Amino acid sequence: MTRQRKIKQIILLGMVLAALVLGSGCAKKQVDSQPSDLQAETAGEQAGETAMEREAAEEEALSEAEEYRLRQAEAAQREAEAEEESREAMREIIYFAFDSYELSPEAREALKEKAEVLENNPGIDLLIEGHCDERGTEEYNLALGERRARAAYEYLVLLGISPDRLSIISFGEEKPLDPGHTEEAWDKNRRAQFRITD
Amino acid sequence: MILVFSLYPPFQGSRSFIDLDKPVYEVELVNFPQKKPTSKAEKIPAKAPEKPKADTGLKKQVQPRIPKAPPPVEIAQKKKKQPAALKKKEDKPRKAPSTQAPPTPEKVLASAMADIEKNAQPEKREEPETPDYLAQALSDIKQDVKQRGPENPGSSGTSTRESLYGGLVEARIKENWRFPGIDDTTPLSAKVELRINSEGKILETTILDSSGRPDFDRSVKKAIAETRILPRPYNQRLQKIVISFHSQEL
Amino acid sequence: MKKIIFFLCTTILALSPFLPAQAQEAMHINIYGPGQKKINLLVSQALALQESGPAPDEVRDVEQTLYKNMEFLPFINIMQPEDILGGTELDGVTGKDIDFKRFALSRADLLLTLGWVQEGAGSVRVELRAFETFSGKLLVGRGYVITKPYQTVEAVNRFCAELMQKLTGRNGFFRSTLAFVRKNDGHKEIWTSTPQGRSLKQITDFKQYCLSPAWNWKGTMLAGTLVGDKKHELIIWSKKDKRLRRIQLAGNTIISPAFHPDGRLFISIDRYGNPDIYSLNAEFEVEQTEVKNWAIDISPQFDRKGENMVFVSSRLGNPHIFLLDLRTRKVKRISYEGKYNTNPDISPDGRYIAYSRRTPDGHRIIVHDLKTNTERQVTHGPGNDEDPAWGPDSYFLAFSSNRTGEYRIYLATRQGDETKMIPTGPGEATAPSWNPAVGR
Repeated sequence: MTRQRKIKQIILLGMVLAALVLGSGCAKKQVDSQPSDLQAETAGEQAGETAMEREAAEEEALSEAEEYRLRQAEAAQREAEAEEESREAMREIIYFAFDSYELSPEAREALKEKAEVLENNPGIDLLIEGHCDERGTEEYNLALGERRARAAYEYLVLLGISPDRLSIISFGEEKPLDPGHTEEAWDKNRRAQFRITD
Repeated sequence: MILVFSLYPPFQGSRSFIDLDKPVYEVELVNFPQKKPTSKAEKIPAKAPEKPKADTGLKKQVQPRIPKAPPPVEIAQKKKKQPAALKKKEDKPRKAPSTQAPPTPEKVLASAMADIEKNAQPEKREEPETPDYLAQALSDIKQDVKQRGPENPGSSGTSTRESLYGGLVEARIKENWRFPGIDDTTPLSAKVELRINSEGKILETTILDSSGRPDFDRSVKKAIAETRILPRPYNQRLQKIVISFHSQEL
Repeated sequence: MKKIIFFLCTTILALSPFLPAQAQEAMHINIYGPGQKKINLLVSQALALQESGPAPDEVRDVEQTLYKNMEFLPFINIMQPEDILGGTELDGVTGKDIDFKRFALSRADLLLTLGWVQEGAGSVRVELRAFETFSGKLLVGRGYVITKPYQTVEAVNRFCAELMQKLTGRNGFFRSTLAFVRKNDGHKEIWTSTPQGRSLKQITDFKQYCLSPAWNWKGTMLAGTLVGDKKHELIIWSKKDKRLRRIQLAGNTIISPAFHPDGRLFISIDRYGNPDIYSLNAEFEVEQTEVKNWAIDISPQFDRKGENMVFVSSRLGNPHIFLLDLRTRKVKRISYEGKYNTNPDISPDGRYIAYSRRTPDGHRIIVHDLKTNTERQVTHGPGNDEDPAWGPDSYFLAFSSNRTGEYRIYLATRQGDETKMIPTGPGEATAPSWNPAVGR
């Protein structure tokens, strides 16, 4: 992803430079008003000059417009990438140990990133889902799922996110990511998941 | 009583009906005259002080250590321990098996169940084969007793024979006694007197003490009626047997 | 001289316990417990009471239903016709026509007879009788006129309930209702059926996850948890008008609703950031805090008197079973073994607590006797046995188990008898709740 970006940036730069070079070749600075004594020059010359100036001005305007469009595109591109990064940060799942709702260091890191995204995007809210593996019993797993979601919730609040923007739901063992009956599957299912709501 | 236990044919299919009420320590019943139920001593009390685990409190009832039905020889060994064991019993409540750090109760039960299923006898075996098995076991015990001599030097060997015979009678009648085991909350008891002849044939049955429940009384009478003949009495003068039937296991 | 005689007599008396056994004439024996805790039952061949053609379907249905019902009872052993000397055909269905001795000799304890008469098109009269072979006594005798298909099951259930009452003093098994959860197409809905697995009815259709159905004591309402896409809701179903209500409560999580005998609903919600137990009023608003602390407290259940509440708490670090005396507010610990004990249910008579303990081999159902303070394991897997629910007679237990690979509902008994599956149709079945009201 970053490599592609660099290439794009280089291309963009190249285009900008090219535009500048082309522009500087033809583009004049603002057409100054001529001093009066030079108005004696032939109309033809004047006309010719004006035509050239107009052309130059047009070209300048064109390349400026293009530059502007390019800059817009780049900005949009960056925005889209940033948004995708944010979404990724939000989508990231945090995992828990068996029968536990303690946040691991990885979980805390992930939550920090989420907090950042939330800060930068004041318009969005977050729904925190708590999940368990199948090994316990249904009702206790609903409670454990709630504790896991709440652990994430409390950490986010600690990081400065307003509780109004956060909500919790426990799915207990009802929605496993992996329906298998192995340690691997269970590891994947003991989690908190995050959904953007607005 | 080991003999009694292995005769029971309550095993229906692969999901065996395990009677978890059956006590492990029935052996004692055979060898000492029944003066009164010893159940009080056997009941595992809650919060028994000798439980070594950190969180005291509840003593669960025997995750039943249903023993493998051992061959009759083992009875001898157990008998040896009897006098000491009995004393212990009277002094303090029996130590719960769970304090001996056994394998998980689940495993014990599973292995015991497997053993029992191996040893399980089909229903038909009840009728003709039983006396042979009993006789075999009986003769083994008799032999064993002869070898070791009487236990209480004071009493004659008769008391042992009496106890043995009592055990045989109990086994035979119990085998034919069927009563739905749904209500174990109100214990029922009925006392019945049997008159027998020298061959062991039951001549007359009289209810001395009714249980108060006609269906229980009938079940008891039926058990005796179906038995019809008891093992030949060890003593020709034995003419009456009084049996107390209790709905509860020990 | 008198002195000598007196001395002799007392000596003899004193010595008499030591006199050789020849003088003994009676012996005393104790028998503790029957050799077989099942009685042998024989269902005789159906008999036409009047000249007629072949037996109509209703009669076949009655026979089948009778067999199926009896199979559920752990204290009944159904005999095979081959076990009966002289076969199972009868000359008549009443006592005077039956040679009971023949059946008693074959060790049959109970004899069921079925007589029928075709009374015009679409109407069959069926006579069911239960005899005790030992005495020839008629225990139950009933006649039923069947005009519609559903009536066969109803008739047999009533007969079996009476028979069970006669034999055991209880009749709840054949006249009560189960509620449970069934998973189909990835969703969980609440269903009801009889404890024999008949009259299956779907109650909810939210296409989400409906959990923890709970009957009220009159059998007129069901409560449950609806886990939707974004939140939990409490659902209340009214049997009378089939109405389903959805109610939101404070907090995010709704767990384990349960009705107290006085009609109040108890529930676990995380009002203050942690699942605690509250009681609600008739409008399902939070009325009183029942159990509140830093730990998870869930799964309340009550006995018929409503004096005791059993529940799960993680206050010791991991889930265990506790008993709350609702009057004194004293809490007593019930489970000591294992590290994960959940799903408690207290028997209607208040004496037994069944719960599910996680063992290295899977969850197992344990029954704790409050009177003797002892415990017994009543199921043995394999797989996981969870969620026990007492029947109205404090004898049967419904529970869910994945011993076959998929979760289904099974029946166990307080004494650990063999378990039987309750057929509930396709899809995993869990979370049984047994209506304590008898007679539906």
